[in-house]
Amino acid sequence: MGRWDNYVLTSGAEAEEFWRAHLAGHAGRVLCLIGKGFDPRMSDGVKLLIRCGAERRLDVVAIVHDEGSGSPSLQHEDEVESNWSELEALAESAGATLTSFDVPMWRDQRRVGARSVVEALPSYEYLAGYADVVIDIGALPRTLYFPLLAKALKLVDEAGRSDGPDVHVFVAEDAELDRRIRGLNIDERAEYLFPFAARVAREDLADAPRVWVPLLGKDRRVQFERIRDLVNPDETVPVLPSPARNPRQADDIVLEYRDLLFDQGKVDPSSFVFAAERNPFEVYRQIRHTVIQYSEALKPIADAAVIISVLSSKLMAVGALLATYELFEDGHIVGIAQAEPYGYRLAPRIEDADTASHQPETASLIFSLWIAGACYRSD
Amino acid sequence: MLDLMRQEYLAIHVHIQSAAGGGKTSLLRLFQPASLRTLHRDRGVEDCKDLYSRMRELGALAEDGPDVLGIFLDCAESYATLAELRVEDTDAATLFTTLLDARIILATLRAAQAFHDLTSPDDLDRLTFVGRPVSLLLGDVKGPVTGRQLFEWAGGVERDVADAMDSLLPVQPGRIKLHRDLIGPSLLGPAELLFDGKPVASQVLLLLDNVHHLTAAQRDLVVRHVMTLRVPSFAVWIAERFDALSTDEMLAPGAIEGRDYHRLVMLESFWRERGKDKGFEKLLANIAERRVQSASDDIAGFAELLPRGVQDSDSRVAAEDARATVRSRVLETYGGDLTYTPLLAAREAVTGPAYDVALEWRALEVVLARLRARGQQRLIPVDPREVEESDSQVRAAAELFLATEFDFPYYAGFDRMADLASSNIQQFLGLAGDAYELIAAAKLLHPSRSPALSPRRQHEITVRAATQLWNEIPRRVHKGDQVRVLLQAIGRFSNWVTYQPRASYAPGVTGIAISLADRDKLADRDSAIRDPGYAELAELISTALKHNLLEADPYKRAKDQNWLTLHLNRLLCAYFDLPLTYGGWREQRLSTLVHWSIKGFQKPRDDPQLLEA
Repeated sequence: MGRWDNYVLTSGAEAEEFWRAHLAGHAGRVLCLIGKGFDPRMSDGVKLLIRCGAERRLDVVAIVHDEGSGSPSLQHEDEVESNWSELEALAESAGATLTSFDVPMWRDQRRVGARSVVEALPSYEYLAGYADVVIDIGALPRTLYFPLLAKALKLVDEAGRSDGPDVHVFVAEDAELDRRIRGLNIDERAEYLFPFAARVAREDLADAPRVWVPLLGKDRRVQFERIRDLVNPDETVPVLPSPARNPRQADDIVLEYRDLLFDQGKVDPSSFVFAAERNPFEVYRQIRHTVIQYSEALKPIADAAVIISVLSSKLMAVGALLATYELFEDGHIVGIAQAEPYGYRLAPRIEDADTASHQPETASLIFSLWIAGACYRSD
Repeated sequence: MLDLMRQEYLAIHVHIQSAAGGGKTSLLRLFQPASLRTLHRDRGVEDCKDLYSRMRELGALAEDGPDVLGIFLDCAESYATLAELRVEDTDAATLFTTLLDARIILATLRAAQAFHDLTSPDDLDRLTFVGRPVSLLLGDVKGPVTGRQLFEWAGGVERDVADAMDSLLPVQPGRIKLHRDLIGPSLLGPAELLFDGKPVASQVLLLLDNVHHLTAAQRDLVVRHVMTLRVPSFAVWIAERFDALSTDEMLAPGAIEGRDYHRLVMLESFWRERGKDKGFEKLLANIAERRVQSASDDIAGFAELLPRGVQDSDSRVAAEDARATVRSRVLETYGGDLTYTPLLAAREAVTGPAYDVALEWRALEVVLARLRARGQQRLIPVDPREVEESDSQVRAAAELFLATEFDFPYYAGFDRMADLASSNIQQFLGLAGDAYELIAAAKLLHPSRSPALSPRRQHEITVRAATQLWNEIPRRVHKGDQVRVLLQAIGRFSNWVTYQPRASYAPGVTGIAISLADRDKLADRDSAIRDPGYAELAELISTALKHNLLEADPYKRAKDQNWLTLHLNRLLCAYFDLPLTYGGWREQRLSTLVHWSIKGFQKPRDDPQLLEA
């Protein structure tokens, strides 16, 4: 039985209803970690919490990630400042505290963001002061929210307290906006991502069978190729979003990656795994099942190393993270491999192409995932 | 590729450096047991005979099979991350040496098993390590240590370090058994490593790849340790990209050489030297042909499918236009001077394809510009036999000028594709791959026709690839924007000099040079402190060299002294409409280069007094 086979997932109006009831049920403080960035959805999670009753008991920590002076994201400094001003005003009017936590992404031409960001949650004692810990991953890059979520889970699990905080994840979905945010200057060489890195890169596993589980999404061919070069898989098990809002999404993705999957990768079509685009817990279930299946099948020969890569939406990414975390803690040889962009750019909407500085309105839908705490404890 | 290796290199430490895609990893992997065994098995196969013969000459293969145990270890993974790890009561250097030793041992055991074709874990007991260094690793141990014991030790160490690296919580001290000094390589001599009681192989070769991924401190530790290592019949080859080198190492290469037991091999420099006898072109032709054969598109003779020249109907129209335009211009400019009448008459008499005639007129135009520039008063008409219009350099310049003025395809032909590679295999494969896709598509669409790629399409592919390389510099390269300012200045300067009417440096200029004294100033840290502009310039040049955007030759001789020449990557030459030769370069002062790196190059209003090469 998997840890998240039963789960709590709400979205939109349902999420609002959940949070009103949840916050009405206690008087404790709420910690909300967000990313400071140009994404118009940056403050959506904070707004929801305030609307639902977190006024006067909310602490917001903004992760400020420094991508370096050459980052394409710097073109959007105006949007960042605008978002920040809005958040400051919001915090002030809601009686919330607002602090920043600086995370350097690079040191000596090495990526250090993943190791740095986990210090934003320094200890269990820090979390224990809160009834709810919410991590809003909307404006955070994967290299940061993966280790941050893993750290939150680890602290809570290690403490093993029955009165510990509830841990939640917010994901603001807006497919059109997500398409317009493009990662640029992809790392020439893919890397394994902390804290799921060193185990799969062990030298004593150099001859072990390697199974690669990429969650595929549109316009990620460059990343796919670079991660594949790093992982050098013996078997590839692609995960496709289905069901999805666009019923042809999976077909379109297979067409886009056709040559990489079938001509070069010799992937067997029966290997494809399908997981619901908007249910990260189903993604979790599918990946967990796949990894356990391959591990058991290959065990008579050798310990298999399974590497997961996320080239898909953030919602699906959270499912992949949960699966990896649980399998890793259970001792499986799993890891996460990614090829990350140096920075991001927000392309203007087509109808706004002539007025590129116009701040687009969001039509985002917030998904709220409860991933640790009271509802998962056995009575 | 093996031409750059000598038999002695199996017995000494070799440092192999290149830009990305130079072929380092392919070279190292050739010496792994699996590769050697396969080569030995297939020694009778036609395609393998040359390679087998060469490996026999080197001593890697004997009559009965592999003779050298190649232990391959990729240094790309994890080590640099150790610098970020906080473990109480220990430091990053100790973690690094412990982990590296463990991985060297694991790689050695794996290689030894492959060398002797062992598959069972029980076979590890047939391997024994003797000698004092073993006890330094395992602690109080007497007598030989089996491969299994070392496997368990190394595996345990690596698991502990990996757990520490992946840990989200503070790592407890004392959890990992650490040791400060690098010991692993000392264990690997044939006298120390036995299989069934005998030396595991005649020669042991530790192949450390991607050493540039280590931190500077880690790399220094490895290089220093290797350079002091003296174990009979054991050598270490270190392969790294130029990225790892410091500014002064890039500007003054070869400083680590000069010892009997250590060699430095810079792949691009080697291939540039071999370029004189077309060695690199032959290698690329070989690579291209093998890749084409392994594809299932029924295409052969890749080089022959890349013709040069002016062929298509558009170019023929342009050729007529060129002939008429250049002729008219020459007659208008020089027709009034009677001393040139014989030259002009000789040119009028030339017949043939329009392009060839246009080329003759354009070469004559260069010659006449030179004659006029000499400023000498002549009373006797110039004898056509006196002038150098048949000079191949002038004709090469004329070809370039015509191509730029009338949009003829210039970057076409396999030889030019080989030149455009800038001595880098990966760069060649990019261009060749683009060309091959079009050739394969043509074959598919029109199976009965030749799929040869027209010179115009080849030219377009090159220009597109050059533009892509140019556009990627800011994102691929540290301080990429500033590096590009400097490169643009060099490119624009080279273009300006090249296209001067008298083509003094025919076929053209593609780089600059600095005196060795100036080179030393750039590499000297005290100078850098005194003049921050020099420090910045040094870093930009060093960065460009690391990424093969500039190619250095520190031994160019002219005017009774040596110069450090810095030529543009050949693909960048295509970006700036320059030729692909290395002959033309112009000396520049450091102050000028500092100015260029900030302000770029501006064309002077008047023709300057240019220094002669």
